[in-house]
Amino acid sequence: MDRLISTYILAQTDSQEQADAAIQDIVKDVGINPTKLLMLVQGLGEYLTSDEAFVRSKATALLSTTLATLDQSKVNASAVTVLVEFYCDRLTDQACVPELLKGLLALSTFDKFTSVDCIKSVKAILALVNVQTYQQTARHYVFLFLESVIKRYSQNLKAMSSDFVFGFIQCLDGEKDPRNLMLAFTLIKNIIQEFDIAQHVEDLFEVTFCYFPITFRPPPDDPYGITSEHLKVGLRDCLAATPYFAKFALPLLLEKLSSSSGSAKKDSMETIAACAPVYGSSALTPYAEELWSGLQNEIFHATGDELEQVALNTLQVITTELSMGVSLGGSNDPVEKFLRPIISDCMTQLQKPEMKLAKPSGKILKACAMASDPACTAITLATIPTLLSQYTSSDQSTRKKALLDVLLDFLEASKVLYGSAGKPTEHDTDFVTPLLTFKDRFFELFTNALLSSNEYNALRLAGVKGLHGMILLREFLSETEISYAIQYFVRIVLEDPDVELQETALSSLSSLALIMPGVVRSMALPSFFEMLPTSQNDMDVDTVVQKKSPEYILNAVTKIGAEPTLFADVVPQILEKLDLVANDFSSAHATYPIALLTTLLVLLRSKASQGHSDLPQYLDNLVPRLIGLCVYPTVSLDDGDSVMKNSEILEVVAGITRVVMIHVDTRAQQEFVKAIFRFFVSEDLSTLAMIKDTAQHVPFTPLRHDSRVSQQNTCVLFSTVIDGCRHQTVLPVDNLQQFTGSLVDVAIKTANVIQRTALSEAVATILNKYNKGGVMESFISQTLIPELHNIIRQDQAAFETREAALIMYTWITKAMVLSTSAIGYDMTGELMSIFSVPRLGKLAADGFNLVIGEQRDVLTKESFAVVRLLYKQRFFNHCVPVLVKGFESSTNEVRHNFLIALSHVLRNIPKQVLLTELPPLLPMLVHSLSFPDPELKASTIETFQIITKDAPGLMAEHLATLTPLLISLTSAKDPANTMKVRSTALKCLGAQPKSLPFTALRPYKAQVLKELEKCLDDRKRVVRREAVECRSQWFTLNGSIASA
Amino acid sequence: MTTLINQNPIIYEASAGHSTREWREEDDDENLADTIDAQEIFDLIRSISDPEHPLSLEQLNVTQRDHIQVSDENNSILVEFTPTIPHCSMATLIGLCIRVRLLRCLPSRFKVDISVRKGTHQSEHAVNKQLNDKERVAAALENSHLLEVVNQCLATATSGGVVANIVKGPAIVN
Repeated sequence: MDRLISTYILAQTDSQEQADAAIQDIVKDVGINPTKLLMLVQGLGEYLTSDEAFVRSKATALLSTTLATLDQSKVNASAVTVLVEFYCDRLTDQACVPELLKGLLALSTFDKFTSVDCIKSVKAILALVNVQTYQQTARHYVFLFLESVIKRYSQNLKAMSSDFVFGFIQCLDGEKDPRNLMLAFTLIKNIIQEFDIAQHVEDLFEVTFCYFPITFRPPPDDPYGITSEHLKVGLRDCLAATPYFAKFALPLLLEKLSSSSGSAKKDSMETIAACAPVYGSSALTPYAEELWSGLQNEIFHATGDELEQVALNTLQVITTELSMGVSLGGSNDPVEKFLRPIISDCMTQLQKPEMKLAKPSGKILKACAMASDPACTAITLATIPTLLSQYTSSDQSTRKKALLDVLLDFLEASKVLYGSAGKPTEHDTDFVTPLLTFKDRFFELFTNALLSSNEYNALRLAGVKGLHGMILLREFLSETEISYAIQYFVRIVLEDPDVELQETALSSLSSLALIMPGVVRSMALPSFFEMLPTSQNDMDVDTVVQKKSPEYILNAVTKIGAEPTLFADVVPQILEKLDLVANDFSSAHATYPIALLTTLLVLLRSKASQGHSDLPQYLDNLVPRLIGLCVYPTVSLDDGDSVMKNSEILEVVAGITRVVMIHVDTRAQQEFVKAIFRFFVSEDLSTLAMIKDTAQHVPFTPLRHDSRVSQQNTCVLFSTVIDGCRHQTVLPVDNLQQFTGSLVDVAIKTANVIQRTALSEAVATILNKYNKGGVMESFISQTLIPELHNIIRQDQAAFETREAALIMYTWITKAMVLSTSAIGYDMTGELMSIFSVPRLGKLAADGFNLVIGEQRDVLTKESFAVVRLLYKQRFFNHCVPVLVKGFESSTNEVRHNFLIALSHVLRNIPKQVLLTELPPLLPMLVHSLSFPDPELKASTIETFQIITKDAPGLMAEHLATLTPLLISLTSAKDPANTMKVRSTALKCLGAQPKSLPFTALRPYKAQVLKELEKCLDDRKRVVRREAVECRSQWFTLNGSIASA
Repeated sequence: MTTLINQNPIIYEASAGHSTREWREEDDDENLADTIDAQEIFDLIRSISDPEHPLSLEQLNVTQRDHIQVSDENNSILVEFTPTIPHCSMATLIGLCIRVRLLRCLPSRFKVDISVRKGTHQSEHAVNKQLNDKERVAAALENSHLLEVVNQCLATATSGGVVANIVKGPAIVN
């Protein structure tokens, strides 16, 4: 032990390692056997009393470090007392104080550190240590020590009475370090709450308030992570900890409010808002007038929305607080006294309601009215009658509109204070809004504004908003009034020509549909459906005075009808219309039925995203009906013209099937899949279509390559069902591989693109989903791949067949890549080798988009496809090097295909991956810009735009090559520069000044501005707009902005 | 606080930053030329900020579409603007902002006249003369302080002119 001690003490400052090693050994030693602590103290004896301050301090450090790391349970009570005594006695030795404080801090956490030890050490520190003369760490120990003892022995410390508080104030006085202040602020708050500060209020306030306002700005890369916001909040909590501070704080805070610094103003206002509830009404009352005059400046002449909002909020808090004040004799009620000048100032401004200061006045009245019931009542009674008579006497619509805006503020305030119709239980139901007195006038005013058809639109808009606001107030309008209002909205949506009015009324209906579905269901929905045509004749504009198109009305229905009870009404209505349409319409008139079906689809999707639980029932109630409607005309004897054969209609029905399918459980799925397979595979018409009398119909054989085209098209529905299957849902076929093989066959033989795509999707889904444990892999690699490969490579075969095989091949590749199966990468390699096959090369290259891009309706996670994490990265890492190599070793013609494939990959890869892997690819990308392929160009420029934004350094390196190239792409002379290419190039150039350093761009400024002048006269407006945008970015490019 | 020339101006409704122009099918046709019209000029200048208030020229009714005349084939444009009050000393500055904006955004083939709308300013003649004197405009822009003020007013002008999307039927939202 002695040896270790002397090694440590004698270690030179440059052999710190040696000292550290020694200290660790000692700590370990003492840790194992606490009796050695005594040996340590004895061993240190001579050093602790050494003449050299350095040695004494070092010896103390050793002891303190040991105490701090020791397992304290092994030190007995008497040892602690002795140590405390020893440490306290030595506090006079200034050189050792920091180390001693560290030791005392360690001791204060010991279980056996008693209240006597506590008082002793606290007294010693407060008496002997002049805290602010020591360095930051030592001061930090003091604050940590105080925190520790306050936590454990606050009762005993209270017995020290005011000495403790006084001592603490001394310690704090002059502290500047943010880390210490964070601690100190918590301590101040604790002391205020737990100790008797009566004798020291002013001192304590002074040492605290001197930090206000906080101006601290953390150094760049600050390791402690203390922000000025942390300090502000810490300090604010102290100031708001006791009402005793009120008389000192309020005058000073008011003074800071008039400061010129925005941050100090904001801090003052937020602090006032935090303090007001604590200081209470009687403390605030004397300053009421000053508070208003200070705050109004921030609102009437606000420099920014944020400050204005803070000021309004502060005003509201003060009003709330004053409202709780005891009123002495009624007329001098503190809140009324406070509000009087506010109301009078605002009403003066509101005499000219169309002027700039009227709006903030409305906001002020709203903030105050929101504060409390008395405030709201006082303001309402003092202002509303005047505002109403002003409205009546005014004939200017701008003025009327501005007045209604103020009334809207009152409605909003009332909603916040007295509760809204949506959730009535939150508020005290004893209070009713004072607006109730004016209800009839309000209703009349807003209604008239809304109905005045030849008026200024903004006024009518205020009318809609007003009625909406009134409906939302709790227990305000009667049911009859609500019904009227809703009917007005419906009329606007259905009859008014103004888009903004329509949209506002519609969004109002849409939000009311959720709160009061019953009224919307009875008052709104029927009117919408009445307006929908029921026959092809109705569609002719001449025959009916058709005010709005059916598409428009249906769009409105999609905004309202998602709520379950409403949706239950929508479905039969739409089905009824569809039945009529299906018989009556020819295939040329598909827009209306498409819109009807799309309405269902949109509503179902929005229900799905809102998590409605009524989706599953529509698998029985809706989907079979729709499938039936699509299939009937395909099996009719004459195969005549019917709108339901339209392929777009099939797609929407497929979409509907899919949404419902993925939201039902396995059991329901299983039932449904069985029926679908009986229908499509076993060709049994009696199941879904309910066709019993087969003599009246031709057979239904959709899964054959030689059946009716209209029947083939319905494969879309079949493949969608497979896509929606859960893993546990079993496909009812004897041999899945054989079945899949047969689908592949049909897909290749058919001449019908729709059928081919649908079947390719079905095959891909099966192979992806039902490949658990790789059961499908040998089938894919030994049967499917060779078969497809043969067809693709067969020069003599019909081109269409080869194309079909390639498409199937690409889909299977996708299925495998998604599940990161090794086969997928092999197949990708094969796809690349097809790049050089004449006519098929481009198709293979574009196939990369399918493989790595996300398809919206097939093979997605939500439809239970196996999509492995990071599959995109793995795909990227696998194929980019191969693409680069292939590019380098190819002829120009084939290179083009490599670039296309690359651009598809880059477009679909997550940005982080893109940026790290990009640098070696840049030369290839630059090359892409010189190919006369507009799509490739546009896509490459988009990649450059991402680089500009997210890897500006990389972009800056290539400016010399890229800038002239991008400029040349903006020229309309080259027909390959389509408007998309030109505008994308301009966007890319325009993104540079925001991201790249000024020094890098300066050399190009003149050139860019000059050359792009031509684009200002481009024949297309979109290009001109981008040119204007781009040039204004470059015009303002100068050193000062770039560095800001 | 510095006193403003017009403390409390009237505010008008402005269509939230986007153009009121509706999209037409021709807009997507590569070969059809879109002529430069009054709406396009208005979209360029509507969202310029007023030098005094954080409001746009459109909100203060300083510029209006109907007060712009354009002839694309004759290369001529006339923009008239209305100062908020007849003694507004900012009129020249506002005119200068419009001038600079159009200088930067229009092909040089256009002859652009900018003037105060008749009868809306005390010294409208003097203001008009200044705004349409090339050399005086150039000299004004040499003044770096003035240029900075102009650039500040123009900083908000960039968002104007984006065509609003108007829903025609039930749209599938992704």
